[in-house]
Amino acid sequence: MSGRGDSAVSLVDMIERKAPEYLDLLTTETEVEFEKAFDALLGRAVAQLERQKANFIGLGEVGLSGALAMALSIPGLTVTPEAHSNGHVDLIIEADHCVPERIRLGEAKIYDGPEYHLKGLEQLLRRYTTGREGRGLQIVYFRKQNIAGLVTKLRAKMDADLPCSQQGPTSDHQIKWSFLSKHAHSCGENLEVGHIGCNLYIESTGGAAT
Amino acid sequence: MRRYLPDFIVLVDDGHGPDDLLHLVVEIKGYRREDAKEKKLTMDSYSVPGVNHLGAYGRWAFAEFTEVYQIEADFEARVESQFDELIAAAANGSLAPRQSISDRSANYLQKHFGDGHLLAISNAIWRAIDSNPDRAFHLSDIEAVATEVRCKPDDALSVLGLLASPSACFLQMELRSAEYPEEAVSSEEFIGKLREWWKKKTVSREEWERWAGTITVRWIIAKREEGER
Repeated sequence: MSGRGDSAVSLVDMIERKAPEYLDLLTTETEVEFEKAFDALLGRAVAQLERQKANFIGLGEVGLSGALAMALSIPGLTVTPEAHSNGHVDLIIEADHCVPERIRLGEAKIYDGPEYHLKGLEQLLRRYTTGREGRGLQIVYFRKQNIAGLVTKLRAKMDADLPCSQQGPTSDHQIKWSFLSKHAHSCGENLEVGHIGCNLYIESTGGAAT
Repeated sequence: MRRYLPDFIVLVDDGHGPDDLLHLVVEIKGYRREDAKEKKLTMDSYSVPGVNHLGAYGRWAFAEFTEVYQIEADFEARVESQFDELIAAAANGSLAPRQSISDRSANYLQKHFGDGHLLAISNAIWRAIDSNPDRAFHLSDIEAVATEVRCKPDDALSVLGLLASPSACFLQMELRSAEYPEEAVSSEEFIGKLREWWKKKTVSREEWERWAGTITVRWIIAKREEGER
């Protein structure tokens, strides 16, 4: 502690020590600023998950998303995973100390090919998102080798098929192995989705992927 | 905008008297598999926490019954659990409701994050609340929790954030000024001042620290939970 005990100075010091980008996020005033600050935090949390991947070998989507949520959450910004019986995990991101409060919806899946990914995209866009939440999020945990190649293939398929009324080709994201897509939504606007790759591949001594 | 018409809204007298019935929104999932998840997500994330937070429209809860032939048993179990909590609270005195909140928060964390370290941190947080005379969690309690559970203070801060999130709503963060302790400092005011220092640079670090140093932070049991005592 900083010696200032229970004061708001101590709280902000703690948050700043965890990551200064949180203060950027809490003080944002526009959607664009929020996305930029959130991307910086997300990139940091994904990188942390990758560094600690050896600890997550036995975890499924729920456990991985729980670890990601813990890495991201602070008072004022929380990420809550909602597990479903069909194997995927919804993510609710609430920035309740931002004015106005901001909510993001996402999905998290262990990568199992483009079709599985696109099924999740469809659920996110067609069933959960109302259009009010801003950019959607698909966290993709890659346990297979060659994340760079798999992301390239996924992007190529999306750019060729334009799923979920995709508007034009995908674009680069500031986070590595990640990209953005835009989709026409029933609300009448184009909604952006961030596809965030997280490399959890571990080469076992026997050569088989975990 | 989407309209959602629940299958039923059941008014349950769960012991708060006829003027404060629990509004239980009942969804029969078996009939509408396609949109059931969307409804549940919306109800759990927005509608129920929102209306309970407002406080002016009574107490609301959401229940989803999965199979038609199980409805009667599920419904009885849901109503029974409400009564069980009430009876436990009456039988064991004032400590019982708080234990009930800690159990519910543990269930919440288990449901969303699985078994793990979070439950231990959450339990330590509730123990600290139980031991504090004002029945609140203080920022300075974080170090003790981290030491007890052998976690990083950051992790304890994360769990506090999760327990106080709009979805969970077990705790709420409270900011009070030393100058006007009877009035809570709003999030808007706090973030506004933080923004002046951190983002706009119209306030120096010294000025920020002078102001924020007089603001006390603690987490109190959320009003919704207080209402259920």
